[in-house]
Amino acid sequence: MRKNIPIIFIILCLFFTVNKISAQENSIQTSYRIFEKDYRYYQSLIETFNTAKSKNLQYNSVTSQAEYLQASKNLLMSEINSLISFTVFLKLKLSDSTKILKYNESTLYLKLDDENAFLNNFKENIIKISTLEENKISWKTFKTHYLTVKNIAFRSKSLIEIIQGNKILDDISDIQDKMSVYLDDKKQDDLGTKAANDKLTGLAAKLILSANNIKSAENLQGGFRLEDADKNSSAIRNVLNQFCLNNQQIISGYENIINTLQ
Amino acid sequence: MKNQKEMIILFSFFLILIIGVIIYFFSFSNPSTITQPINNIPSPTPSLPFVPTPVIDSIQQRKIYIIESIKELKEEQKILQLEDKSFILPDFIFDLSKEE
Repeated sequence: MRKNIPIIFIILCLFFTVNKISAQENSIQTSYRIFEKDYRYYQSLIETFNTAKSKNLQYNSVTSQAEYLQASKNLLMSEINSLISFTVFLKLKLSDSTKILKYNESTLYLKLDDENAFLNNFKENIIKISTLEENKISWKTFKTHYLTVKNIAFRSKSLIEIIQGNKILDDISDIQDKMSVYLDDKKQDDLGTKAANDKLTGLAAKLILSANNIKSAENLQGGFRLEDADKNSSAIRNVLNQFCLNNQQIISGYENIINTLQ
Repeated sequence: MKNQKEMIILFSFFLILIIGVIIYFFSFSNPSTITQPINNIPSPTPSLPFVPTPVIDSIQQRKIYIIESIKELKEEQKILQLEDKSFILPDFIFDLSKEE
């Protein structure tokens, strides 16, 4: 029995680890589904809001104003709920993709935490709104926070894409080394092997191009301004698209070498 | 209420029974725990003569390993190529018409 205790312990550890990983993946998908549900609910309220608003503009009566205020508050509340679920999703995605939160990622994570806490408290203020003026101030406040979350999302996207790019670059370098060793072990007097060696040297030059692309993306990320998050994120994406194109040529080259040699 | 209590008791009983069976299985199914006279230990199976692995096999294995690595790399590349649109927060309406 004593000898079996470590085996039982390992089995239990494996069971809980597998469960934890699948739970994390599930929670990301679930959180996005919750966001989609909240967003659809918000969309369903738009028509009611537009009708109430135009009715109030037309009649400007006490009843129409009350209806409009209520419709506006409902719409704002649904948008807050959507934004809260989006921040939850983004936090999970950020922590899952980066695995270890470094300075940049943890700053974004904490900002999202702050936004989440603010929005949850903000919901209580919305319930208390009784005038059109208060309503407008709340909308203005909400817009600021919406833009903050939107910009954080753009930055998170770029961060994660660069992390993925770095991983790909490491893997390509690894394959390049393995290919080099593989060709060295093959007969050197073979003409095919010599041609393959030449081709591999050409691919090494392309690998430097890919490494430069990643460096450019990292530099852009370094100067990332949340105010221009959309533009910065697009610029990083363009660089990474070039990186992907270059990688495709390298990968095709490797496949060509490995499939040609017997 | 009474039924619920009965159900809990029944469930606990079965749980204890299952744990007991598992413990029993691990205690007695392991041959190392059964005391055996030293003389009865079966002699080890005769070892096969040592055959060195041909070099060509290791190169072939390396080739297979490289092909597998390229496959994995292509999958990673696909993920990066397919831009993750879930990060992009969709547009919202802001009721600020008079101020804008």
